[in-house]
Amino acid sequence: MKTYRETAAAVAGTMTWPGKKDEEWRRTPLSLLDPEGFARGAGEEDFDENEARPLPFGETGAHLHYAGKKLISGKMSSEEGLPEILSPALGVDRFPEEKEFFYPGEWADRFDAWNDSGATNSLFLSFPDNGILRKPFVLQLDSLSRDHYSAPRIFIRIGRGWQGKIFIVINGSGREKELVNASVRLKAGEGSNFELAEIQTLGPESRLVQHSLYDLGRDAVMTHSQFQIGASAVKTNSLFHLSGEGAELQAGAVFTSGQGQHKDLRLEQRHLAPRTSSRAMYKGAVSGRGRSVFQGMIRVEHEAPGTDAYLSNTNLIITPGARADAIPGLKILTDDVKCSHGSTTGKLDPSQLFYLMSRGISRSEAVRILTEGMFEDIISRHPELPADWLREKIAGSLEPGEI
Amino acid sequence: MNILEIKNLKAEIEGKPILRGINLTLRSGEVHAMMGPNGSGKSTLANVLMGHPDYRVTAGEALLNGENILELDIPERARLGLFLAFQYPVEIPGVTVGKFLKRSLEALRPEERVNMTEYIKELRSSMDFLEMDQNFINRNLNEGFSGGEKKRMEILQMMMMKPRFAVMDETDSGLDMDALKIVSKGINAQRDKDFGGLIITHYQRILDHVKPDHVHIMYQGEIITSGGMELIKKLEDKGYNWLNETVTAGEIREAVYG
Repeated sequence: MKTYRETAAAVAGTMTWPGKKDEEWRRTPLSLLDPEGFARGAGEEDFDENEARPLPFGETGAHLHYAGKKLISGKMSSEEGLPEILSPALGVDRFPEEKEFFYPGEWADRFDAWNDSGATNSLFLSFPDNGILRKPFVLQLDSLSRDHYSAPRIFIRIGRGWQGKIFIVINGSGREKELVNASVRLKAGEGSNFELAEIQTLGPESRLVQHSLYDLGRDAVMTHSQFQIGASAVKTNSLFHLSGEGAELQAGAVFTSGQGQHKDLRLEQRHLAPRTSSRAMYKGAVSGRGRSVFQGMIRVEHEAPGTDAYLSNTNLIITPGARADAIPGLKILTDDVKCSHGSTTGKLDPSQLFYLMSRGISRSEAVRILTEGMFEDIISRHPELPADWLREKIAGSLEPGEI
Repeated sequence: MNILEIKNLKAEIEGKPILRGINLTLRSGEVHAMMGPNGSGKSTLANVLMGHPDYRVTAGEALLNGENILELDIPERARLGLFLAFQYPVEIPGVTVGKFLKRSLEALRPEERVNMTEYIKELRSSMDFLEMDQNFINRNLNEGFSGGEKKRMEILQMMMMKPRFAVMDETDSGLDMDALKIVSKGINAQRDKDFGGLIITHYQRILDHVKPDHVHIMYQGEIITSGGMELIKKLEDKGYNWLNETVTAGEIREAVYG
């Protein structure tokens, strides 16, 4: 019998790369990600671990810092509510009822199948039932190799009633050149209430493809944010499944595309149970010749009456020549729902610029202040994030020639 | 002493002339009032001095201690000591008052390091003076502020930034009596030998609280008459209609000698 990994490899082998004919890929040429150019997975000998730098988080419950498979440093406090850290195989042995979720046996596309067949580093984090974690759990995954791919696979099981904050950072040294093909699968148990922030700050030659599935059980409440700042090309697909009655999602994103950057973010708020609610606010800024694509979809299934869903997307075009596309959509298969979506794309308000400049602030500083201001409500959802570091990264990505 | 000399200033918007040759000299230690009916060009003067991009200067100069500020970019004008209290202060989402003021002080005086303790102390005492809630420090600039709160915020900025010359563009409009008194108190607190002010207003009531040294009346893009408090009295008695007579005389003069 084939292992799961072998099955995934066999399936990947039969699939073609997604392309222009697939609606979701229409605006992002595969050549930007160049999967064939990164044929070998990064191993421990492919990077210099001295390049790894722990990011400036404040007090944490734990800060696990990996480069590929290698644990560079691991700080773990004795806080209650910290996860058990397992391999995926051990994880599903421990929680066989979750096996189908973590090993569904079907793959969205070739990248997804490739992640399962070629995973370079895998983790199964099990956050305990009824645990309360007071300080954030930080998982920092550094990409440090050149011309290799890495395929991190992160499985997260959130126990019933668990409360806490999880930060996942995919970071680069700036000198690396990796194709990161990431997969995140999260299953949140009944009544859990937590934050998950994902931050991507790869270097200017790296690329990212990410498939994510977040499944919220009964009365689970999640605040999810993603900060897509680095990399030359990014293609993400985030699926939020509100599977249990009364589940609530607050989703947000900050994405920036400066000179030569291309970001394509897709999100789906899929309501599968009654009285579930989701609010998404995705905010992007483009400058230089940067480009962004936002694809949003609210999907309300037949089983989800009483759904309350909202999706908003705002795009700021900082300099002419940059471009932002937005494709929001709704698919509603039941009655008795409250759904709305909206998208706006615009330039900086000249009267705001004039006001700030009249106070002695230079034009470039005023642009930065206004851009930061636009993102501030997402950043402030996570008070324990290193906000100044994040703002610097955001500003850097929007200034031509720097990340 | 500082001096701001506006000489034969002409400006237009979208090809339409608004300012038709303004001559005005402000010196530190003085407060001038610029009055005039709606559409006379008062706010245009304020915006042109600060460098609003919608206006085009077609002639003249504005010399601040001899340097023509019309040739400078907007932040440079501010760094030279010019301040504009906006008629309609804009909302800046996501940027708190405390953070904005600090960045702005750093930009105005790049050679000095802002001492945080001193800065907070001064900010708090200025807010007390203007009877503003300290919670405003952590609120986003002007976002959700009432009209009166926005105007107070302009005066607070003026107090913190300590400009050489401040142009206050209808700072009194939309204020109730109490707010008007507080704003006036703020302006009066600035008056000293190093500060010059130009109060642009449609109404005389702010001038009951902030007594100007000079009064100018603007009409159709020109200063048609200047004087002292007696001009205000005249306006009070006759309204802006008496200007028509004055202007007709001016136009005839122009027709004859122009």
